[in-house]
Amino acid sequence: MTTATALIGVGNPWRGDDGVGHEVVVRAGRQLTVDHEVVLCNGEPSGLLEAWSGRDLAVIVDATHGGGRPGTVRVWTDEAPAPSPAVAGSHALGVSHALALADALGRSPARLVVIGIEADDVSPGHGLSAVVAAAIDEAVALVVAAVQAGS
Amino acid sequence: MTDRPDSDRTLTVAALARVEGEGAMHVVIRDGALQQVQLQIYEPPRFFEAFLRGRKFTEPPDITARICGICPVAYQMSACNAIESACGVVVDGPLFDLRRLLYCGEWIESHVLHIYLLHAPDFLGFEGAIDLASAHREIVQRGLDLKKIGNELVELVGGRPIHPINIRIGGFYRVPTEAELRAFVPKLERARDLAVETVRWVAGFDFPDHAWRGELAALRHPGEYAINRGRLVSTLGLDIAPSEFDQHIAEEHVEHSTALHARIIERGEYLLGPLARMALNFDELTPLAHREATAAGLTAAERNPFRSIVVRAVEVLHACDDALAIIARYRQPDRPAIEVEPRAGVGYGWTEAPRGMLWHRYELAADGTILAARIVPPTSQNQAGIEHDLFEFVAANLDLADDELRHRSEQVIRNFDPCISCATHFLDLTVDRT
Repeated sequence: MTTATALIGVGNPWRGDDGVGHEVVVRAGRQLTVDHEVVLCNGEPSGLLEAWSGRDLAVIVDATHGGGRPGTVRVWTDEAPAPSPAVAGSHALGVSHALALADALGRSPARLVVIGIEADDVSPGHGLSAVVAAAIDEAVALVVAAVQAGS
Repeated sequence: MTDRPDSDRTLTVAALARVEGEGAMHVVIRDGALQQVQLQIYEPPRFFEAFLRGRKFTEPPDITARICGICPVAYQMSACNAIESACGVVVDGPLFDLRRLLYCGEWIESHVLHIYLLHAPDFLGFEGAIDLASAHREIVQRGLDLKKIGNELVELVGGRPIHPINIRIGGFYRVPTEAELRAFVPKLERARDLAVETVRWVAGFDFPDHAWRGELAALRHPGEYAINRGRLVSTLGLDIAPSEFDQHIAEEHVEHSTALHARIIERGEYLLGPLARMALNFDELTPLAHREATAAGLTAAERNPFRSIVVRAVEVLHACDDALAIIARYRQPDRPAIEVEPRAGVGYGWTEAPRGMLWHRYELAADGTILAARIVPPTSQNQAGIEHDLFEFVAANLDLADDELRHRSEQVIRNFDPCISCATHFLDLTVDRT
């Protein structure tokens, strides 16, 4: 049976700051005591659909591009971020498109929170830039708060 | 942006959607004549090759899997073949079959993603998968159901659906039991039914009249629709082993791209992928896939890249059929991997990634340290061929209005399912017409 709450980290940890979504949901998962599932995705749309279908709450964390200074954390509640370029990623169909696809298929989660962290550097390589790493605590707190608010 | 006085016009598309990854395409038209078509690739593709130097010979399956989230198994399998070849080891029997089974899962998930979410909207007049899903929810859902079974097959054998972790030099960390594989049969039988429906669906699309007139190359191995072993053969007589790649295929820098262009030394650009595999291995399809391919109008002589969507659907069906056959004959091996001892030398390996042959070469020190690595992905090999095909298509359709020409050009590129993220990043399309 599907766990009611999913923390979905989106991105590619081998593309610098694009890995921040994975890092945030893993850390948030360690802090949560309520039942939840941590899902790590690369942003491929059908994988995202599977990750949030049938959930009461999906909290999605992804790197963003074009939304202010690097390290800026933004939250969308029960709405999809504007389509590309708001959400970064190395594939053409990102979170926004996957959410729209889910809407069309009737496979959206009951409640949705999207947390974006503005990336600084998504060139090949492991590890986050200092400014994005410094934003992790704020993003983790937002994930935890979103889950606790709904439980 | 469109700026179109009567005699001069420049047309720019900010982003080319629905390809895997990003790059740029630039088309130059002067005085009504097509002058140049360039597929531009910005990102240094050799990052992983540099990253592999100094690593242990056991690490490439895990490291190279990260090059692509769509075809990680291809990278893992080519890496294993190359390193095992350097170490003088051949993996065969049930372990070879399991690798092929894993690869079937990747073919299913990769091809189905392209067919349903990226390519089909072109033929049905939709902007993209979201519009297609709004109008035909059940069709897109069928695609997602089919893709999910592919994902689950990769997870069953590979340990997880993206970047599988169960693959090692010499075999696997753990092999599935016979009961585990048999339990998956009903899902694969359903996938096979969905694949038949998919072939019949895409076969009914309207296809522009167009033909690739150049060379096609694919692996071939007697008795199988080659995926993870074989020689590279072509429609113009190429027939080489992986160690002979450099003697027959040259990679060269071109100014507009940081990915290297590959050419068959004697003749020029070539294309890999579904159309090539169908041309060279049509007789090796399973009976059901062969029957459905024939009913869909395909033959080994098919050369229309627009019909590659039908070929991909047939390959999905073949992969389902092949996976069922592998499971039917599977006997759990005594051990999950052959022990592989490193030795100084050079090893070469290739396999058929969903988009075509992927070649790896590793030079090892006696202790197994990697001294040099080369990876030549199919999309970079296809780059010159895609340019050539687009040139021919645009040249034959210069009378089209800018928007239509741009739209059709995007479709031509999508015919090849370029996984540019394997070799590059960001794809924009520019038509410069004066």
